[in-house]
Amino acid sequence: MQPRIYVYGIIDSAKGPEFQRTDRRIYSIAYQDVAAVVSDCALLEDFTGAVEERALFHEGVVETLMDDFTVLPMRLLSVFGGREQVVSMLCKNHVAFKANFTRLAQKVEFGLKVLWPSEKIRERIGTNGKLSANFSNVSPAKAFMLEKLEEYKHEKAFLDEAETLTLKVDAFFSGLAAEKKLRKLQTERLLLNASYLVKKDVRMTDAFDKLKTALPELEYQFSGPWPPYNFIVLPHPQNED
Amino acid sequence: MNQTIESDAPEDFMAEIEKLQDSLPRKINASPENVEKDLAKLVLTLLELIRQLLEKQGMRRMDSGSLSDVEIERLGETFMKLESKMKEMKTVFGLQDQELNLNLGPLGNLM
Amino acid sequence: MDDDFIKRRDVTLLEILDRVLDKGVVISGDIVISVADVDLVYLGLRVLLSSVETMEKLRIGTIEPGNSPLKE
Repeated sequence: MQPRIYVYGIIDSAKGPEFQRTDRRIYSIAYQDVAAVVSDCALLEDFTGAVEERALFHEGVVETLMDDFTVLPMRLLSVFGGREQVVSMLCKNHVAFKANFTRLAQKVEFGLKVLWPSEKIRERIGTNGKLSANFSNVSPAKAFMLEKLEEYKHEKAFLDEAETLTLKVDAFFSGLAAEKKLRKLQTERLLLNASYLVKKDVRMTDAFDKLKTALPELEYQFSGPWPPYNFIVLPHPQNED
Repeated sequence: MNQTIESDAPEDFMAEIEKLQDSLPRKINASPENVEKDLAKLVLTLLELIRQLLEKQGMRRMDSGSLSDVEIERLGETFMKLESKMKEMKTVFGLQDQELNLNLGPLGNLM
Repeated sequence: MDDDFIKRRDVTLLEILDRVLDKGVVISGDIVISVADVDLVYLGLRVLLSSVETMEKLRIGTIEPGNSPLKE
């Protein structure tokens, strides 16, 4: 039975690397001027190990490739039925991959997550206590509306604060970034979950240090450089059948 | 790994990201009883979305002062009825508030 | 093991998993993944990072298709 093929990433060269890492042989499968960097795997046995180990291994291979190529990192556990399927995938996506290579050449990704003291912010915004006192001489329908209005105003103020603060944080990086993805207020406390695509030589840590000094009341998780996981653009999958 | 990684509060960040994972779609268990409940969930989610949008629209107009007292009164009565009807429907189908949401993938959650 | 080392390793792992689990090149057709693997991808960060017990179970292979802790 032919081995399944595990794909780590796509590189902008037909001549890919070949090396051994632990007990796996990493090699490439080319199509025209691109290649998939892969290793063989038997299906089930290979995945009963901890996903943590596999994720670290996967990332390790991708980062090795970054030194010599522009890499489009593959999502974890992208396993194909055989060599033919890999070539078919490269062929179907060739144009899209080439476009990504052009956009992402010499660029890396940095991540910034920001926590803010949402409960304190809500406390500070508060509600207009005066209105509640007037509820006694008002119809139930009007009282309902007044209460909803208070909630609405509070929520609006909260979102405005989030937006203002997000813009302040982003200002430290947006001038440096070729592209960015800002995920705002994904949870109450997670003010911002941002990914920035920057040229390899950009001094992101300097910018981060400036941010920390300017806005010390927020909590940060800063990481990078990463392969450009968040900046892969592929057309919507067409129906296969 | 050759990254710079700095975190002010690793456990807090992990906790928040875990919350995001909670809203990922799980595998659908398509037994007959579940199909009915899933359909009810979908319909009620959409109704709830419309109800919330209508309320928000009402609040925007009230905030900007473009509603007369009579209109406030009438909207209040309508919204009160809608809210209580929705609570009723949730009880009938045994659905919690958190269940009435849709994950739109890269767009986040519906509500 | 040093507490700081564990924290740093956890943050690194969190950030790696945050990327490799559902970002990067995501191809829908032609992928051959067994039920067990789909479960692993859907388990996501919560199980992979917060439950040492589950990690141990994953390591010694007592989580198999059909008895994932998150199946409803």
